[in-house]
Amino acid sequence: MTRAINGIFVNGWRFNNGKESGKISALSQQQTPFILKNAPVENCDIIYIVLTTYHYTDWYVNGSKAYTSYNGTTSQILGSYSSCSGCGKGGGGYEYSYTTSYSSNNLYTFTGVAGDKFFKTSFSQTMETQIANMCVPSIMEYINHELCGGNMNQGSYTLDYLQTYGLWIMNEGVDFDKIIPFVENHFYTSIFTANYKTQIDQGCIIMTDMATDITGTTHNVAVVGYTDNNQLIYMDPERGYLMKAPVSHFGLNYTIPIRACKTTNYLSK
Amino acid sequence: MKTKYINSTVKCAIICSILSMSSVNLIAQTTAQFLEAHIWEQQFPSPVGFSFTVNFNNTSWVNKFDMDDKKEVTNEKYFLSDTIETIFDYDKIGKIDNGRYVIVEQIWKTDGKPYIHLGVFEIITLDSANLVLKNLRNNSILTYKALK
Repeated sequence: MTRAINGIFVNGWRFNNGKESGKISALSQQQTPFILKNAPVENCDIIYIVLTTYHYTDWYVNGSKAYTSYNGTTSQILGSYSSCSGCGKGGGGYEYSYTTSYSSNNLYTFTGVAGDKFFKTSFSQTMETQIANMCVPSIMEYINHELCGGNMNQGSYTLDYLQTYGLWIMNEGVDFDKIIPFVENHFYTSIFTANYKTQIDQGCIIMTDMATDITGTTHNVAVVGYTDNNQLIYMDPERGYLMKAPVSHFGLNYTIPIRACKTTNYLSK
Repeated sequence: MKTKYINSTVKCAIICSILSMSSVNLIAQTTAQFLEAHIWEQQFPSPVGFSFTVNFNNTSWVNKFDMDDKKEVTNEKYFLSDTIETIFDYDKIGKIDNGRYVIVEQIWKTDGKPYIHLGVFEIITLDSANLVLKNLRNNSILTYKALK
């Protein structure tokens, strides 16, 4: 699958056994204002400008085009206006010995250095590792525990997704066009100001996505801090520990600052 | 004379072996039988706090979720196919015993309204202990172990 540098879907192909079995194209794109109701206690509306891309797949059987299926939409937030006040208390930092390991994707295992900043001063830097499809509910569970001190289980989020959209996350993952309302159902969010540092300093964890090697998908992560050399520190649910990468790696389809939880006890849901 | 007898015995053994193997093939389990023989538990690299199993009967792919007092079961119609199907043919449900792909009718909800989608899962591994599927919608790999 091909995307432009700004993350907008361009086109792609689906292969099976080395043969092209599907061709994926951007059917059309359009910008629409998208209103998100934020925390009711603050009574603020956030208006995002969303680029919606409509996708379809041409299926080929024995070399002939047999069918075109509609694959839904992906949404990219291009900008926004109006805003809510801060993300609560945040800031702070750690002092660590400094080591990094390099990977081919310009991603580094994070171990920390004096000057690194985080959304709060004390939080877990590991989590249980997870399969790709579960990266959204597992990160939501991590955020619930670390930001709000809750005990929500990813299974609760999974059940809510099933009841709302009719899909098992374990089998299907979470669609781009569903992720914002899904997160909004469980968290109070803030407008993304395009400045990770400011919002981390305000105490937000920022849920966003990164590129993966798997065609047609991106990887959901939680940005929890930043370094003084313009890298973001994030929790990777497939690794189960903190990583860091340049800012340009993030926000392919969505960037959602999360400042509080709507539900902290999974037994209450 | 003795050599001739030995040769005949060897020939018979070879032929019998071939016939025996053929008969094994004739009674080999079908894809559907392998799928339906077990309850398959999805495998996660770390505990997730719930269990998620699937089992297949002649017409349905049954998903079962179990977490404390929260249980959920869904049934989705399916059929097997050797090719990637582009429409869900209800006439094929329960009538095809072998296939490389599991074709599933999925009911998605948007704004509370149901929409029918086609799910296509490629069978990567299927034996008496392991089931590995690839969801062609997002190329994710789903790994299961047989429970019984």
